[in-house]
Amino acid sequence: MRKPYSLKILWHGRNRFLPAILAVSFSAVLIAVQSGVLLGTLAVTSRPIDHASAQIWIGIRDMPSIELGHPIPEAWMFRLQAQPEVEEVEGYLYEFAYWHKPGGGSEHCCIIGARLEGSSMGAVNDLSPQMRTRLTEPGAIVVDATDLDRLGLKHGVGECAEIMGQKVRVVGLVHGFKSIWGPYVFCSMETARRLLTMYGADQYQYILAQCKSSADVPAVVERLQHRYPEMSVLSDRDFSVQTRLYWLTRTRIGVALGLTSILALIVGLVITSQTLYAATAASLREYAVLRALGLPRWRISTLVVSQSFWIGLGGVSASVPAALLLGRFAGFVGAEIQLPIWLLAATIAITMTIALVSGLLALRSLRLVEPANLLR
Amino acid sequence: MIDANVTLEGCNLTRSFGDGDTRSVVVHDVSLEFCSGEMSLLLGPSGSGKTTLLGMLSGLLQPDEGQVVVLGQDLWRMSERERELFRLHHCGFIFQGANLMPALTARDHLEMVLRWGERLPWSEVNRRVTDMLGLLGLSRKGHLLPEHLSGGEKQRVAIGRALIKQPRLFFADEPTSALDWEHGKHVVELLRETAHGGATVVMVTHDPRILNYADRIYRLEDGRLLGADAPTESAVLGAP
Repeated sequence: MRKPYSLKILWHGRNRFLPAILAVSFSAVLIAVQSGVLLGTLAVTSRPIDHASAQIWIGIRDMPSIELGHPIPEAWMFRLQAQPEVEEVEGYLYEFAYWHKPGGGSEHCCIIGARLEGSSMGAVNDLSPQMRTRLTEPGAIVVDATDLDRLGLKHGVGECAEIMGQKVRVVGLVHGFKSIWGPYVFCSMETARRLLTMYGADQYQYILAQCKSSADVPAVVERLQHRYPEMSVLSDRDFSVQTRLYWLTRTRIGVALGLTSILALIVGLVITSQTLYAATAASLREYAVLRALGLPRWRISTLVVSQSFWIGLGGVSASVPAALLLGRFAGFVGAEIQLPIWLLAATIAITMTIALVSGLLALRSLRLVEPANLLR
Repeated sequence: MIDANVTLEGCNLTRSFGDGDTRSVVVHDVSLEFCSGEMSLLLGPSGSGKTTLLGMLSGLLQPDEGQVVVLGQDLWRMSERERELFRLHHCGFIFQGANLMPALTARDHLEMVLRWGERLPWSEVNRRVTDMLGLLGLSRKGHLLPEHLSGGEKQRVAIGRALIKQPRLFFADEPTSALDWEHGKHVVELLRETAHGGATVVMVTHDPRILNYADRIYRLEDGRLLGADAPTESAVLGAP
């Protein structure tokens, strides 16, 4: 197999091209990791929905995301129960409260109260049967292991604190629920009601439902939404996406991460383009001979753009393992970076496009190729 | 001389550089002709306009006035694209430096012309490149990068790059100026063989050692042609 001329040129001038390859790699890593952080952060916002088994979520009209619900009457349960496709209905509490640390100081926390039986639709599936049993005790709670510091706890299980002046005791730890605004506190519905005194006995923040067949969900959602406009009726999937989109669009988190990615792209573009420009400008006489011999200009242009392709390929080849390693490292320190295949593929596509654009920008140096200049 | 048909003819060629007060006429009303099977020299002191004349004859530098008829076609009435194709199909060039790409081997340089210019299949390319490397005396050095070749070898690769497409016209601008005579002689012999093989070779030089290899010599001074003849008759016509 013959090596392309462009690859030979790149390899021979590897010291010259290394900064460009590193710049492209840096851009790709930054794009992948930034997007991965964004995905990980957004995923945390909808995790209580994604890790519960409820198929339909009902809340107050126009609720933009899970944490922005309002108390709704228990009577709405009957509306769901009246649907022939609905199999089960239950209430769900989700509310912010103050956590008073055992050693002093306070912190916002997010209380999630749900039924704990095995068939519960609201309890996250990360709660083991043992935890669920312990949670039935009054004041028993479960928190995320990575939130212990934030909650002023040392070991977690067995330690006590106060929420809204009520004593609570940690009976278990879960993983992967590190919240961005306040630690999640999982408890039984009874404990939640004791802590969240603003809720009346006949009020919930959400009502959850499950259909006999998941295929019935869209029809039930549409029917209920049409019949009861004062309610928001969403499938679990739609509610999850809506919650993540809210955080993406209504906060600056997506904008900030997006700007950083754009900056990384510009850095990669400029360095690669300038490196190629300089390399091409240094070879003007060689290219001019080819032009004198009648070789078409597009062949020389292709040679330059091909070099940008190899630079891009070199950059992304180094960046993918680096991004995966960073993702793994982030996991160890409790941060979440999601790097699904589609994100890596998109990063590769964007980076390769940028590398090729930089090659096209470098073509301006070929305007200086003039065979007559070879005559002395 | 072999098959001495006129293949290249310059008529009343004039070329100046600059404008207004800074304008200087480098080539002034020069007419001359070249034949196939001959190696012709354009000879003259520095600034005599010989390189500019070569540029106009070869289609690289447009004359202000005059006409270049090459293989029966008016070179400067062609479009740029047509002239480019004409150079591709009929012209070979070598210049003072070899101008080889540092990353490509001797073989790559020859292959590139056939692949990118002639679009020949690899089997044909391999055969012709191997033959050419043999002709250049570089059979065992085809895999070497320019940095591992001597100055003479590099210039031979440059000649090979120009010759491999078997051009009918061959233009050389002081091809031996950067070489010692040992290597320079080899280059000149190669060019003479090319001419005697049927090509029209036009070479700019100021090296007197080349004169005896030439079939025809044109001497220029201050942009004007002093005369032309074969070297055996008067060494260099118009020489002081």
